[in-house]
Amino acid sequence: MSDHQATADDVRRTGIERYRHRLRTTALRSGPVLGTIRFLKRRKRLLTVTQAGLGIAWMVLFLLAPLLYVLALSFWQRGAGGVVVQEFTLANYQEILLQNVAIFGLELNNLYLIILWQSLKIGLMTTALTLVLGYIPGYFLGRTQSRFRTVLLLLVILPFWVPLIIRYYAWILVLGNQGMATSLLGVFGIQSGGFLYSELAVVTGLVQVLLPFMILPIYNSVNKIDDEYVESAKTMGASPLRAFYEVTLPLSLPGVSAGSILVFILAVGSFMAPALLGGPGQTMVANLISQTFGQSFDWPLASAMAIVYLVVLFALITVFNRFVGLEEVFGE
Amino acid sequence: MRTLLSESQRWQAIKGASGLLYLFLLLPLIVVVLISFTPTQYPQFPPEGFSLTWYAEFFTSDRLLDALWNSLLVAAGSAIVAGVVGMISALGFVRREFEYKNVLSSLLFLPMLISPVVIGVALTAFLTSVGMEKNYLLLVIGHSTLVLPYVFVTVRAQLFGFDRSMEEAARTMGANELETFFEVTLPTIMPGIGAGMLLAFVISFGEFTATQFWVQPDTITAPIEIYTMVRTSLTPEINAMATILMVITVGIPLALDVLLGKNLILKSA
Repeated sequence: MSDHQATADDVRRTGIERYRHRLRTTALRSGPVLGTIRFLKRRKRLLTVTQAGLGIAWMVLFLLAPLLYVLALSFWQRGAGGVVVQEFTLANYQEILLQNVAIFGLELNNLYLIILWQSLKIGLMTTALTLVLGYIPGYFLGRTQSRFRTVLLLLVILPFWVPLIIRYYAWILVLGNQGMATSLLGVFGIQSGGFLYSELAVVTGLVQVLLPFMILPIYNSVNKIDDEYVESAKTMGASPLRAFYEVTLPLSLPGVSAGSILVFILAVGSFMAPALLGGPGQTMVANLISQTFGQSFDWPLASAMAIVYLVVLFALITVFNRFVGLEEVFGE
Repeated sequence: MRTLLSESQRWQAIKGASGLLYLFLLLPLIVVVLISFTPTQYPQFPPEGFSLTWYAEFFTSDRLLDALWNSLLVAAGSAIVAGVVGMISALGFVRREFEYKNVLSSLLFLPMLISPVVIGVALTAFLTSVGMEKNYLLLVIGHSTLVLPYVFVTVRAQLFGFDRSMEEAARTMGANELETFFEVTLPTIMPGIGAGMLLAFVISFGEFTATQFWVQPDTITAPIEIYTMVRTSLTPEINAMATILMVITVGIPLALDVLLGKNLILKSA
């Protein structure tokens, strides 16, 4: 009985399948479709342009054009009430680069430059810490034979899926004045008013959020290393430590550099870490641009700040690129 | 060379240190979830008692539910737009030859490198100057731009591993180009597209930094509400909302992944 039913079901299913297939075939073989295919085949170039061109056009329209507009804005003036006056001026750049700067007297009171420097400094600190901390699990995941490796990898990726705002907010609960850190220290009789609104809090948040960007590329390059290299180094008399320094470490450098560049770039441009975990002393360049644009409504000045940030960023990327090649970051 | 620790001891140390780092990665998020069940007015650790008060608050707040709905809409829209644009351009970049390919492909990665504040400011300034309103369309355009690199890179990775003899076989057996694409190519690269779109959805859903420049009072998204609450009144309602958002971005994809056995999450890495 059940066998019989199964066969009937099968027949019905194959019937539907066949119908669907015929529908698809007729549609895909209809005159206009075939005509279009012939047309595109004759103009291979056009197909190339429409395929890759779609992504390029999107970025030109919604990223490059806006950035060019910002470049134009940075040379315009701010009128009364935040209105933009389209008249050429260098005043915006003068304000953020030259005001209160006396290099030879070593006097630097320029707000923008101080904050830009601070962003680079926090970026470097974050990168160094992330590298030291991220190498260990990256190496572990690359070498382990554990059957839980997939799960362990998943646990590195998953925080990536949690909205950033929640990941930074979590640190308010850990480091705040009634937070977990304070309660834990209280158990040992140590009083503290929390650790928020400090450089420590900002860097801690950044390191935790950016760690997966370091762990994953390091894992990838360690995982690619053939076990036999390490083993033969040991057979030839190298101690395990020496085998690590001479074989594993150099071969994992592509992952190290890819992770470091990415973490540095993302840390320098961070808005949320200083906004939620830092005090006024930890303002970074993204926060300053945001304030100038959204609260002071000085679009031309904010644009000049954005342009200088972009120039510094791309200068640094170019320097990195000399040594490593960004293809490492995105895979080729 | 004499060393202090034996090889197996050293491995145990690496294991232990990795364990601690996992704690560092995951513990703060567990704290968020735990505190969402506190009955107290202020988020404190350890939570005292258990209650669902803050979830009740959340589900009776029209403001927060609207924000959640807006986030879902924008994330779904951006995942679809970025999925289509990302798939088609990945096909073009992997399968066709043209000049300046490297430079042009780095253009597609640019949104990952530039601070979202700058992207947010630039798109706002540019689109308002051509007379566009701050509406859903602006949000979908902006978010699609931000997530396009992720779709592009996952689909591209899938295409690199693609065996083109499958397509040739279909062509020899009489299928035309479009049939080959829909019957052979698309089903094969579908996991990559799915992983990319899932990632696009998740990133768009949680995006705050650029979004703050793109919203109007009626298009406010969930992350914006969380930020406002964190800045104004620190209550465990934030934790309840955060937990619900994490169920949406982590719980549901993870459950689907396990149930369907497709490993989309690992593919997205």
